[in-house]
Amino acid sequence: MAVDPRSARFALHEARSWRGDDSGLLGPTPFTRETHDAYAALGGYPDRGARGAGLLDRLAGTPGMAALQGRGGAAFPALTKIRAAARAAAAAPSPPVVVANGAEGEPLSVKDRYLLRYRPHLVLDGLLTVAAALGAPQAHVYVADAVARASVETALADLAEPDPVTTVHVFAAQDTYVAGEETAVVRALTTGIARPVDKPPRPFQVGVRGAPTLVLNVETLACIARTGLRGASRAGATFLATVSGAGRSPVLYELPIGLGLGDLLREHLGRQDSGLDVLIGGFFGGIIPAWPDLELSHPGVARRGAGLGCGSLHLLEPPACPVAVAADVVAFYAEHNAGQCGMCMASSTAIAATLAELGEPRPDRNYAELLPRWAAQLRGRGACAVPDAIAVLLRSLLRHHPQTVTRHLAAGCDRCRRIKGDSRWEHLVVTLPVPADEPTDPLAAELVPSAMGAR
Amino acid sequence: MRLRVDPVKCQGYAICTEVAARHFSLDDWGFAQALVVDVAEADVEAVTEAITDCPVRAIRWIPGPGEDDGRGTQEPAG
Ligand code: SF4
Ligand code: SF4
Repeated sequence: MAVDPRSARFALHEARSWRGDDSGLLGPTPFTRETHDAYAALGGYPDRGARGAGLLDRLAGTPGMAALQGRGGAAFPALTKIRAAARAAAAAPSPPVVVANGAEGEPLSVKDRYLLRYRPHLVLDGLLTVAAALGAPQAHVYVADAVARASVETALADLAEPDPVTTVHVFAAQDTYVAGEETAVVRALTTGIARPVDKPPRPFQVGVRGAPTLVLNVETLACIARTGLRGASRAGATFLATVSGAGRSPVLYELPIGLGLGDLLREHLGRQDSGLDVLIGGFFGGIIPAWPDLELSHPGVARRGAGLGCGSLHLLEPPACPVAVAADVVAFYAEHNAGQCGMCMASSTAIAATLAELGEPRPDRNYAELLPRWAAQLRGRGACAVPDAIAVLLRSLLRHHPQTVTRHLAAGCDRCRRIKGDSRWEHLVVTLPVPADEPTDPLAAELVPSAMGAR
Repeated sequence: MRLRVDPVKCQGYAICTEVAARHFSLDDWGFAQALVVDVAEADVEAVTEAITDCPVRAIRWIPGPGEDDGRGTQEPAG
Protein backbone atom coordinates (compact mmCIF):
# COMPACT_ATOMS: atom_id res chain seq x y z
CA MET A 1 0.00 0.00 0.00
CA ALA A 2 1.15 3.44 -0.79
CA VAL A 3 2.04 4.90 2.56
CA ASP A 4 4.93 7.31 2.82
CA PRO A 5 6.65 6.45 6.10
CA ARG A 6 8.01 9.97 6.20
CA SER A 7 4.51 11.37 6.32
CA ALA A 8 3.51 13.32 9.42
CA ARG A 9 1.01 10.57 10.22
CA PHE A 10 3.74 8.50 11.83
CA ALA A 11 5.57 11.30 13.60
CA LEU A 12 5.75 11.17 17.35
CA HIS A 13 5.38 14.61 18.96
CA GLU A 14 4.28 13.68 22.45
CA ALA A 15 6.26 12.21 25.34
CA ARG A 16 4.91 12.02 28.86
CA SER A 17 5.09 10.10 32.05
CA TRP A 18 2.19 8.17 33.45
CA ARG A 19 -0.21 10.65 35.05
CA GLY A 20 2.61 13.02 35.91
CA ASP A 21 4.29 10.29 37.95
CA ASP A 22 7.90 9.35 37.65
CA SER A 23 9.57 10.98 34.67
CA GLY A 24 13.04 9.85 35.60
CA LEU A 25 13.77 8.51 32.12
CA LEU A 26 11.97 11.06 29.94
CA GLY A 27 13.38 13.93 31.95
CA PRO A 28 11.77 17.03 33.43
CA THR A 29 11.14 18.77 30.08
CA PRO A 30 10.24 16.43 27.21
CA PHE A 31 11.69 17.15 23.76
CA THR A 32 14.30 19.49 25.21
CA ARG A 33 17.91 18.44 25.03
CA GLU A 34 19.20 18.26 28.57
CA THR A 35 22.45 20.14 29.13
CA HIS A 36 25.32 18.93 31.26
CA ASP A 37 24.52 21.53 33.94
CA ALA A 38 20.83 20.65 34.03
CA TYR A 39 21.71 16.98 34.41
CA ALA A 40 24.30 17.67 37.09
CA ALA A 41 21.68 19.72 38.95
CA LEU A 42 19.57 16.57 39.25
CA GLY A 43 22.50 14.88 40.95
CA GLY A 44 23.96 13.46 37.75
CA TYR A 45 27.55 12.23 37.48
CA PRO A 46 27.78 11.67 41.23
CA ASP A 47 31.10 10.85 42.81
CA ARG A 48 31.13 7.08 42.38
CA GLY A 49 33.35 6.65 45.42
CA ALA A 50 34.64 3.33 44.20
CA ARG A 51 35.55 1.57 40.97
CA GLY A 52 36.07 -2.01 39.92
CA ALA A 53 34.69 -4.76 42.15
CA GLY A 54 33.72 -2.30 44.90
CA LEU A 55 31.54 -0.31 42.52
CA LEU A 56 30.11 -3.49 41.02
CA ASP A 57 29.08 -4.68 44.49
CA ARG A 58 27.51 -1.34 45.23
CA LEU A 59 25.61 -1.42 41.94
CA ALA A 60 24.45 -4.95 42.71
CA GLY A 61 23.13 -3.76 46.06
CA THR A 62 21.10 -0.91 44.52
CA PRO A 63 17.39 -1.48 45.08
CA GLY A 64 15.74 -2.99 42.02
CA MET A 65 19.04 -3.68 40.27
CA ALA A 66 18.82 -7.47 40.65
CA ALA A 67 15.45 -7.44 38.91
CA LEU A 68 16.36 -5.02 36.11
CA GLN A 69 15.87 -6.69 32.74
CA GLY A 70 17.61 -5.41 29.62
CA ARG A 71 15.49 -2.98 27.61
CA GLY A 72 16.77 -3.82 24.16
CA GLY A 73 14.25 -6.60 23.59
CA ALA A 74 15.71 -9.82 24.93
CA ALA A 75 14.96 -8.84 28.57
CA PHE A 76 18.04 -10.59 29.88
CA PRO A 77 18.80 -9.68 33.53
CA ALA A 78 21.22 -6.73 33.33
CA LEU A 79 23.14 -7.55 36.50
CA THR A 80 23.75 -11.14 35.41
CA LYS A 81 25.12 -9.84 32.14
CA ILE A 82 27.38 -7.27 33.85
CA ARG A 83 28.68 -9.91 36.26
CA ALA A 84 29.36 -12.38 33.46
CA ALA A 85 31.38 -9.73 31.61
CA ALA A 86 33.31 -8.95 34.81
CA ARG A 87 34.09 -12.66 35.31
CA ALA A 88 35.16 -13.10 31.71
CA ALA A 89 37.30 -9.96 31.92
CA ALA A 90 39.12 -11.27 34.99
CA ALA A 91 40.30 -14.26 32.96
CA ALA A 92 40.88 -12.56 29.60
CA PRO A 93 44.17 -11.14 28.33
CA SER A 94 42.61 -7.93 26.98
CA PRO A 95 40.61 -5.44 29.08
CA PRO A 96 36.80 -5.42 28.72
CA VAL A 97 34.83 -3.12 26.43
CA VAL A 98 31.41 -1.62 27.21
CA VAL A 99 28.92 -0.61 24.53
CA ALA A 100 25.82 1.56 24.84
CA ASN A 101 23.55 0.10 22.19
CA GLY A 102 21.27 2.73 20.68
CA ALA A 103 20.91 1.34 17.17
CA GLU A 104 17.14 0.77 17.58
CA GLY A 105 16.21 -0.87 14.32
CA GLU A 106 12.62 -1.59 15.41
CA PRO A 107 10.36 0.47 13.15
CA LEU A 108 7.74 0.83 15.90
CA SER A 109 10.06 2.09 18.65
CA VAL A 110 11.67 5.51 19.10
CA LYS A 111 12.61 5.41 22.78
CA ASP A 112 16.33 4.80 22.38
CA ARG A 113 16.85 7.65 19.94
CA TYR A 114 14.68 9.81 22.17
CA LEU A 115 16.98 9.13 25.13
CA LEU A 116 20.11 9.77 23.08
CA ARG A 117 18.74 12.94 21.54
CA TYR A 118 17.25 14.51 24.66
CA ARG A 119 18.95 12.82 27.62
CA PRO A 120 22.45 12.01 26.39
CA HIS A 121 24.00 12.62 29.80
CA LEU A 122 21.72 10.10 31.50
CA VAL A 123 22.94 7.45 29.06
CA LEU A 124 26.60 8.52 29.29
CA ASP A 125 26.46 8.55 33.09
CA GLY A 126 25.15 4.97 33.05
CA LEU A 127 27.76 3.93 30.51
CA LEU A 128 30.63 5.47 32.50
CA THR A 129 29.35 3.92 35.74
CA VAL A 130 29.20 0.42 34.28
CA ALA A 131 32.56 0.92 32.54
CA ALA A 132 34.11 2.02 35.85
CA ALA A 133 32.66 -1.04 37.59
CA LEU A 134 34.30 -3.26 34.97
CA GLY A 135 37.48 -1.21 34.75
CA ALA A 136 36.91 -0.84 31.00
CA PRO A 137 39.32 1.63 29.38
CA GLN A 138 37.23 1.83 26.18
CA ALA A 139 33.50 2.34 25.74
CA HIS A 140 31.38 2.96 22.66
CA VAL A 141 28.06 4.63 22.02
CA TYR A 142 26.63 2.76 19.04
CA VAL A 143 23.96 4.87 17.39
CA ALA A 144 22.36 5.11 13.95
CA ASP A 145 20.17 8.22 14.23
CA ALA A 146 22.16 11.27 13.07
CA VAL A 147 20.52 13.74 15.47
CA ALA A 148 21.10 11.38 18.39
CA ARG A 149 24.70 10.95 17.38
CA ALA A 150 25.29 14.71 17.27
CA SER A 151 23.64 15.06 20.67
CA VAL A 152 25.92 12.44 22.23
CA GLU A 153 28.99 14.04 20.68
CA THR A 154 28.00 17.42 22.12
CA ALA A 155 27.38 15.83 25.51
CA LEU A 156 30.82 14.22 25.49
CA ALA A 157 32.42 17.55 24.65
CA ASP A 158 30.51 19.11 27.56
CA LEU A 159 31.94 16.77 30.17
CA ALA A 160 33.95 18.97 32.52
CA GLU A 161 36.98 16.70 32.45
CA PRO A 162 37.66 13.39 30.79
CA ASP A 163 36.63 10.34 32.75
CA PRO A 164 39.60 8.95 34.69
CA VAL A 165 38.90 5.36 33.70
CA THR A 166 37.19 5.27 30.33
CA THR A 167 37.47 6.87 26.91
CA VAL A 168 34.11 7.02 25.15
CA HIS A 169 33.86 6.73 21.36
CA VAL A 170 30.79 7.41 19.27
CA PHE A 171 30.18 4.90 16.48
CA ALA A 172 27.88 5.62 13.55
CA ALA A 173 25.87 2.41 13.28
CA GLN A 174 24.22 1.32 10.07
CA ASP A 175 20.52 2.07 10.02
CA THR A 176 19.43 -1.50 9.43
CA TYR A 177 17.13 -3.80 11.34
CA VAL A 178 19.80 -6.25 12.49
CA ALA A 179 22.55 -3.72 13.21
CA GLY A 180 21.50 -3.55 16.89
CA GLU A 181 21.71 -7.28 17.51
CA GLU A 182 24.52 -7.89 20.01
CA THR A 183 26.84 -9.92 17.84
CA ALA A 184 26.21 -7.54 14.93
CA VAL A 185 27.21 -4.65 17.22
CA VAL A 186 30.43 -6.40 18.14
CA ARG A 187 31.15 -7.30 14.56
CA ALA A 188 30.46 -3.76 13.35
CA LEU A 189 32.80 -2.29 15.98
CA THR A 190 35.47 -4.79 15.02
CA THR A 191 35.17 -5.08 11.24
CA GLY A 192 32.53 -2.59 10.13
CA ILE A 193 30.14 -5.35 9.08
CA ALA A 194 26.92 -5.06 11.07
CA ARG A 195 25.65 -8.62 10.71
CA PRO A 196 24.99 -11.16 13.44
CA VAL A 197 27.28 -14.11 14.11
CA ASP A 198 26.12 -17.52 15.30
CA LYS A 199 26.31 -18.01 19.08
CA PRO A 200 28.06 -19.15 21.24
CA PRO A 201 30.40 -17.50 21.95
CA ARG A 202 28.47 -14.49 23.14
CA PRO A 203 29.96 -10.98 23.20
CA PHE A 204 30.77 -11.13 26.92
CA GLN A 205 33.03 -14.08 26.10
CA VAL A 206 34.49 -12.94 22.80
CA GLY A 207 33.56 -9.43 21.77
CA VAL A 208 35.10 -6.35 20.19
CA ARG A 209 38.49 -7.39 18.80
CA GLY A 210 38.28 -10.50 20.94
CA ALA A 211 37.86 -8.63 24.24
CA PRO A 212 35.05 -9.51 26.66
CA THR A 213 32.35 -7.02 25.69
CA LEU A 214 29.30 -5.88 27.60
CA VAL A 215 26.58 -4.61 25.27
CA LEU A 216 23.75 -2.85 27.10
CA ASN A 217 20.76 -1.07 25.61
CA VAL A 218 20.76 2.71 26.20
CA GLU A 219 17.52 2.57 28.23
CA THR A 220 19.09 -0.07 30.48
CA LEU A 221 22.03 2.27 31.06
CA ALA A 222 19.64 5.17 31.69
CA CYS A 223 17.87 3.04 34.33
CA ILE A 224 21.22 2.42 36.02
CA ALA A 225 22.27 6.10 35.98
CA ARG A 226 18.84 7.07 37.24
CA THR A 227 19.43 5.24 40.51
CA GLY A 228 22.22 7.74 41.31
CA LEU A 229 19.98 10.82 40.88
CA ARG A 230 18.10 12.61 43.61
CA GLY A 231 14.69 11.19 44.41
CA ALA A 232 15.42 7.99 42.49
CA SER A 233 13.09 5.05 42.88
CA ARG A 234 14.04 1.40 42.41
CA ALA A 235 16.17 0.65 39.37
CA GLY A 236 13.88 -0.01 36.43
CA ALA A 237 10.64 0.96 38.18
CA THR A 238 9.45 2.48 34.91
CA PHE A 239 9.92 1.69 31.25
CA LEU A 240 9.59 3.60 28.00
CA ALA A 241 6.79 2.53 25.70
CA THR A 242 6.28 3.77 22.15
CA VAL A 243 2.50 3.50 21.79
CA SER A 244 1.02 3.83 18.30
CA GLY A 245 -1.84 2.70 16.09
CA ALA A 246 -5.64 2.77 16.42
CA GLY A 247 -5.81 6.04 14.51
CA ARG A 248 -4.28 8.03 17.35
CA SER A 249 -1.02 9.97 17.14
CA PRO A 250 1.83 7.98 18.64
CA VAL A 251 2.98 8.83 22.17
CA LEU A 252 6.15 7.90 24.02
CA TYR A 253 5.10 7.05 27.56
CA GLU A 254 7.12 6.40 30.66
CA LEU A 255 5.02 3.79 32.43
CA PRO A 256 5.26 2.05 35.79
CA ILE A 257 6.31 -1.56 35.26
CA GLY A 258 3.32 -3.81 35.73
CA LEU A 259 0.69 -1.25 34.68
CA GLY A 260 -2.48 -2.88 33.37
CA LEU A 261 -3.02 -2.44 29.63
CA GLY A 262 -6.63 -1.40 30.30
CA ASP A 263 -5.43 1.63 32.27
CA LEU A 264 -3.11 2.61 29.45
CA LEU A 265 -5.87 2.24 26.85
CA ARG A 266 -8.23 4.43 28.87
CA GLU A 267 -5.54 7.09 29.07
CA HIS A 268 -4.34 6.81 25.49
CA LEU A 269 -7.62 6.27 23.63
CA GLY A 270 -10.09 7.54 26.19
CA ARG A 271 -11.78 4.16 26.16
CA GLN A 272 -11.06 0.61 27.12
CA ASP A 273 -11.96 -1.10 23.91
CA SER A 274 -12.05 -4.87 24.17
CA GLY A 275 -12.03 -5.35 20.40
CA LEU A 276 -8.44 -4.24 19.91
CA ASP A 277 -5.38 -6.34 19.21
CA VAL A 278 -1.83 -5.27 19.88
CA LEU A 279 1.38 -5.91 17.97
CA ILE A 280 3.72 -5.91 20.93
CA GLY A 281 7.48 -5.65 21.46
CA GLY A 282 8.36 -4.10 18.12
CA PHE A 283 8.05 -6.82 15.49
CA PHE A 284 9.23 -9.39 18.04
CA GLY A 285 6.49 -10.03 20.56
CA GLY A 286 3.54 -11.35 18.58
CA ILE A 287 -0.03 -10.13 18.00
CA ILE A 288 -2.31 -10.61 20.98
CA PRO A 289 -5.72 -9.33 22.04
CA ALA A 290 -5.41 -6.08 23.99
CA TRP A 291 -6.60 -7.66 27.24
CA PRO A 292 -7.30 -4.91 29.81
CA ASP A 293 -5.76 -7.10 32.52
CA LEU A 294 -2.52 -7.64 30.60
CA GLU A 295 0.28 -6.74 32.98
CA LEU A 296 2.83 -4.61 31.17
CA SER A 297 6.04 -6.22 32.36
CA HIS A 298 8.31 -8.79 30.75
CA PRO A 299 7.01 -11.68 32.88
CA GLY A 300 3.43 -10.40 32.62
CA VAL A 301 3.46 -10.41 28.82
CA ALA A 302 5.50 -13.64 28.64
CA ARG A 303 2.80 -15.39 30.72
CA ARG A 304 0.35 -14.70 27.89
CA GLY A 305 2.67 -16.25 25.31
CA ALA A 306 3.99 -12.95 23.90
CA GLY A 307 6.95 -10.63 24.52
CA LEU A 308 7.18 -7.03 25.74
CA GLY A 309 10.53 -6.76 23.94
CA CYS A 310 11.56 -3.13 23.40
CA GLY A 311 8.34 -1.97 25.07
CA SER A 312 6.46 -0.78 21.99
CA LEU A 313 2.71 -1.31 21.62
CA HIS A 314 1.04 -0.91 18.24
CA LEU A 315 -2.74 -1.00 18.64
CA LEU A 316 -4.79 -2.67 15.91
CA GLU A 317 -8.33 -1.48 15.63
CA PRO A 318 -10.98 -3.41 13.73
CA PRO A 319 -11.20 -3.94 10.84
CA ALA A 320 -7.39 -4.36 10.92
CA CYS A 321 -6.78 -8.04 10.31
CA PRO A 322 -4.16 -9.79 12.48
CA VAL A 323 -3.30 -12.14 9.63
CA ALA A 324 -2.67 -9.22 7.29
CA VAL A 325 -0.51 -7.46 9.89
CA ALA A 326 1.45 -10.67 10.50
CA ALA A 327 1.96 -10.88 6.74
CA ASP A 328 3.18 -7.27 6.75
CA VAL A 329 5.70 -8.00 9.52
CA VAL A 330 7.03 -11.15 7.88
CA ALA A 331 7.26 -9.27 4.58
CA PHE A 332 9.44 -6.77 6.42
CA TYR A 333 11.66 -9.58 7.66
CA ALA A 334 11.86 -11.10 4.21
CA GLU A 335 13.20 -7.76 3.02
CA HIS A 336 15.28 -6.81 6.06
CA ASN A 337 16.94 -10.00 7.26
CA ALA A 338 20.71 -9.88 7.16
CA GLY A 339 20.75 -11.94 4.01
CA GLN A 340 23.22 -14.41 5.38
CA CYS A 341 21.41 -17.42 6.90
CA GLY A 342 19.92 -19.63 4.22
CA MET A 343 17.13 -20.88 6.45
CA CYS A 344 16.14 -17.34 7.46
CA MET A 345 16.06 -15.94 3.94
CA ALA A 346 14.15 -18.93 2.57
CA SER A 347 11.68 -19.21 5.44
CA SER A 348 10.86 -15.52 5.75
CA THR A 349 10.22 -15.22 2.03
CA ALA A 350 8.08 -18.36 1.95
CA ILE A 351 6.09 -17.49 5.07
CA ALA A 352 5.49 -13.91 3.93
CA ALA A 353 4.13 -15.26 0.66
CA THR A 354 1.98 -17.84 2.45
CA LEU A 355 0.45 -15.34 4.88
CA ALA A 356 -0.28 -12.99 2.00
CA GLU A 357 -1.90 -15.89 0.15
CA LEU A 358 -4.28 -16.55 2.99
CA GLY A 359 -6.34 -13.79 1.42
CA GLU A 360 -7.30 -16.41 -1.15
CA PRO A 361 -9.02 -19.57 -0.05
CA ARG A 362 -6.43 -22.36 -0.49
CA PRO A 363 -7.85 -25.77 0.02
CA ASP A 364 -4.86 -27.37 -1.79
CA ARG A 365 -2.36 -27.06 1.07
CA ASN A 366 -2.91 -27.90 4.68
CA TYR A 367 -1.94 -24.59 6.24
CA ALA A 368 -3.58 -25.52 9.53
CA GLU A 369 -0.87 -28.15 9.84
CA LEU A 370 1.93 -26.17 8.18
CA LEU A 371 1.82 -22.98 10.26
CA PRO A 372 2.50 -24.66 13.63
CA ARG A 373 5.08 -26.89 11.99
CA TRP A 374 6.94 -23.87 10.67
CA ALA A 375 6.73 -22.12 14.04
CA ALA A 376 8.38 -25.18 15.62
CA GLN A 377 11.07 -25.41 12.94
CA LEU A 378 12.19 -21.79 13.28
CA ARG A 379 12.83 -21.79 16.98
CA GLY A 380 16.41 -20.96 17.97
CA ARG A 381 17.67 -21.58 14.46
CA GLY A 382 18.98 -18.24 13.21
CA ALA A 383 22.24 -16.50 13.95
CA CYS A 384 19.99 -13.81 15.41
CA ALA A 385 16.43 -13.92 16.72
CA VAL A 386 14.58 -13.03 13.52
CA PRO A 387 13.43 -16.62 12.90
CA ASP A 388 12.25 -16.76 16.54
CA ALA A 389 10.33 -13.53 16.02
CA ILE A 390 8.52 -15.06 13.06
CA ALA A 391 7.82 -18.18 15.15
CA VAL A 392 6.34 -16.07 17.96
CA LEU A 393 4.18 -14.25 15.46
CA LEU A 394 2.86 -17.49 13.93
CA ARG A 395 2.23 -18.98 17.36
CA SER A 396 0.39 -15.86 18.51
CA LEU A 397 -1.85 -16.08 15.44
CA LEU A 398 -2.59 -19.75 16.05
CA ARG A 399 -3.10 -19.36 19.76
CA HIS A 400 -4.99 -16.09 19.98
CA HIS A 401 -6.66 -15.76 16.61
CA PRO A 402 -7.61 -19.33 15.70
CA GLN A 403 -11.04 -18.39 14.35
CA THR A 404 -9.55 -15.65 12.19
CA VAL A 405 -6.98 -18.07 10.80
CA THR A 406 -9.62 -20.75 10.19
CA ARG A 407 -11.85 -18.23 8.47
CA HIS A 408 -8.96 -17.20 6.22
CA LEU A 409 -8.21 -20.81 5.36
CA ALA A 410 -11.82 -21.57 4.57
CA ALA A 411 -12.96 -18.43 2.82
CA GLY A 412 -9.99 -16.16 2.19
CA CYS A 413 -10.13 -12.54 3.24
CA ASP A 414 -10.89 -9.46 1.21
CA ARG A 415 -8.63 -7.27 3.31
CA CYS A 416 -5.61 -9.49 2.95
CA ARG A 417 -6.25 -9.94 -0.73
CA ARG A 418 -6.29 -6.21 -1.27
CA ILE A 419 -3.02 -5.57 0.53
CA LYS A 420 -0.35 -6.30 -2.02
CA GLY A 421 3.03 -4.89 -2.74
CA ASP A 422 6.60 -4.98 -1.63
CA SER A 423 6.58 -2.51 1.21
CA ARG A 424 3.31 -3.58 2.73
CA TRP A 425 4.78 -3.13 6.22
CA GLU A 426 5.33 0.58 5.78
CA HIS A 427 2.28 1.55 7.84
CA LEU A 428 3.96 -0.10 10.87
CA VAL A 429 6.36 2.74 11.50
CA VAL A 430 6.78 5.50 14.07
CA THR A 431 9.20 8.34 13.40
CA LEU A 432 10.81 10.88 15.69
CA PRO A 433 10.78 14.18 13.80
CA VAL A 434 13.97 16.17 13.54
CA PRO A 435 13.81 19.20 15.82
CA ALA A 436 13.30 22.41 13.84
CA ASP A 437 16.47 23.95 15.22
CA GLU A 438 18.68 21.04 14.22
CA PRO A 439 20.61 21.75 11.05
CA THR A 440 20.54 18.10 10.02
CA ASP A 441 19.54 16.33 6.86
CA PRO A 442 15.90 15.50 7.68
CA LEU A 443 16.01 12.12 5.97
CA ALA A 444 19.12 11.04 7.85
CA ALA A 445 17.16 11.02 11.09
CA GLU A 446 14.28 8.92 9.83
CA LEU A 447 13.99 5.66 11.59
CA VAL A 448 12.89 3.59 8.65
CA PRO A 449 15.67 1.08 8.26
CA SER A 450 17.20 1.23 4.84
CA ALA A 451 17.03 -1.89 2.74
CA MET A 452 19.41 -4.51 3.99
CA GLY A 453 22.18 -4.07 1.52
CA ALA A 454 23.57 -6.03 4.03
CA ARG A 455 19.36 -7.10 9.18
CA MET B 1 26.56 -30.83 25.13
CA ARG B 2 24.30 -30.46 22.15
CA LEU B 3 24.71 -30.02 18.44
CA ARG B 4 24.37 -26.73 16.67
CA VAL B 5 24.13 -26.08 12.95
CA ASP B 6 25.50 -22.63 12.11
CA PRO B 7 22.72 -21.12 9.99
CA VAL B 8 25.09 -18.73 8.27
CA LYS B 9 27.22 -21.59 6.98
CA CYS B 10 24.72 -24.34 6.25
CA GLN B 11 24.03 -24.64 2.55
CA GLY B 12 21.65 -27.55 2.81
CA TYR B 13 23.96 -30.12 1.27
CA ALA B 14 22.14 -32.74 3.37
CA ILE B 15 25.20 -34.84 4.04
CA CYS B 16 24.62 -34.67 7.79
CA THR B 17 21.08 -36.00 7.42
CA GLU B 18 22.40 -39.01 5.56
CA VAL B 19 25.32 -39.79 7.84
CA ALA B 20 23.43 -39.20 11.09
CA ALA B 21 19.76 -39.31 10.22
CA ARG B 22 18.57 -39.46 13.80
CA HIS B 23 20.48 -36.32 14.73
CA PHE B 24 19.76 -34.01 11.83
CA SER B 25 16.86 -33.35 9.55
CA LEU B 26 16.16 -30.84 6.83
CA ASP B 27 13.56 -28.20 7.51
CA ASP B 28 10.82 -27.34 5.02
CA TRP B 29 13.23 -25.02 3.22
CA GLY B 30 16.03 -27.56 2.87
CA PHE B 31 18.37 -26.45 5.64
CA ALA B 32 19.67 -28.67 8.42
CA GLN B 33 18.41 -28.61 11.99
CA ALA B 34 19.98 -30.54 14.85
CA LEU B 35 17.42 -32.87 16.37
CA VAL B 36 18.77 -34.59 19.43
CA VAL B 37 20.03 -33.00 22.61
CA ASP B 38 21.77 -35.96 24.20
CA VAL B 39 23.97 -37.97 21.90
CA ALA B 40 24.32 -41.58 23.02
CA GLU B 41 27.80 -43.12 23.19
CA ALA B 42 26.93 -45.43 20.32
CA ASP B 43 26.06 -42.49 18.06
CA VAL B 44 29.13 -40.36 18.68
CA GLU B 45 30.94 -41.87 15.73
CA ALA B 46 28.14 -41.09 13.27
CA VAL B 47 27.76 -37.56 14.62
CA THR B 48 31.49 -36.95 14.44
CA GLU B 49 31.42 -38.16 10.86
CA ALA B 50 28.64 -35.69 10.07
CA ILE B 51 30.68 -32.90 11.64
CA THR B 52 33.76 -33.71 9.57
CA ASP B 53 31.85 -34.50 6.39
CA CYS B 54 29.86 -31.27 6.26
CA PRO B 55 31.49 -29.50 3.31
CA VAL B 56 31.13 -26.08 4.92
CA ARG B 57 31.95 -27.14 8.49
CA ALA B 58 28.61 -25.87 9.74
CA ILE B 59 28.14 -28.33 12.64
CA ARG B 60 29.68 -28.06 16.08
CA TRP B 61 29.19 -28.97 19.72
CA ILE B 62 27.93 -26.26 22.08
CA PRO B 63 26.93 -26.28 25.78
CA GLY B 64 23.45 -27.67 26.28
CA PRO B 65 20.56 -25.75 27.86
CA GLY B 66 21.06 -25.67 31.60
CA GLU B 67 24.80 -26.15 31.23
CA ASP B 68 26.85 -23.19 32.37
CA ASP B 69 27.51 -20.98 29.38
CA GLY B 70 29.64 -18.61 31.44
CA ARG B 71 26.88 -16.23 32.46
CA GLY B 72 26.20 -18.18 35.59
CA THR B 73 22.70 -18.84 34.42
CA GLN B 74 21.04 -20.98 31.86
CA GLU B 75 19.83 -19.62 28.59
CA PRO B 76 16.25 -18.45 28.70
CA ALA B 77 14.03 -20.93 26.89
CA GLY B 78 13.08 -18.59 23.97
S1 SF4 C 1 18.74 -15.24 11.21
FE1 SF4 C 1 18.12 -13.98 9.47
S2 SF4 C 1 18.23 -11.89 10.18
FE2 SF4 C 1 19.39 -13.16 11.63
S3 SF4 C 1 21.47 -13.15 10.90
FE3 SF4 C 1 20.54 -14.88 9.93
S4 SF4 C 1 19.74 -14.09 7.96
FE4 SF4 C 1 20.18 -12.42 9.29
S1 SF4 D 1 26.00 -31.26 5.77
FE1 SF4 D 1 26.43 -29.19 6.48
S2 SF4 D 1 25.73 -27.84 4.85
FE2 SF4 D 1 24.85 -29.86 4.56
S3 SF4 D 1 22.83 -29.74 5.46
FE3 SF4 D 1 24.23 -30.61 6.95
S4 SF4 D 1 24.95 -28.82 8.10
FE4 SF4 D 1 24.05 -28.04 6.25
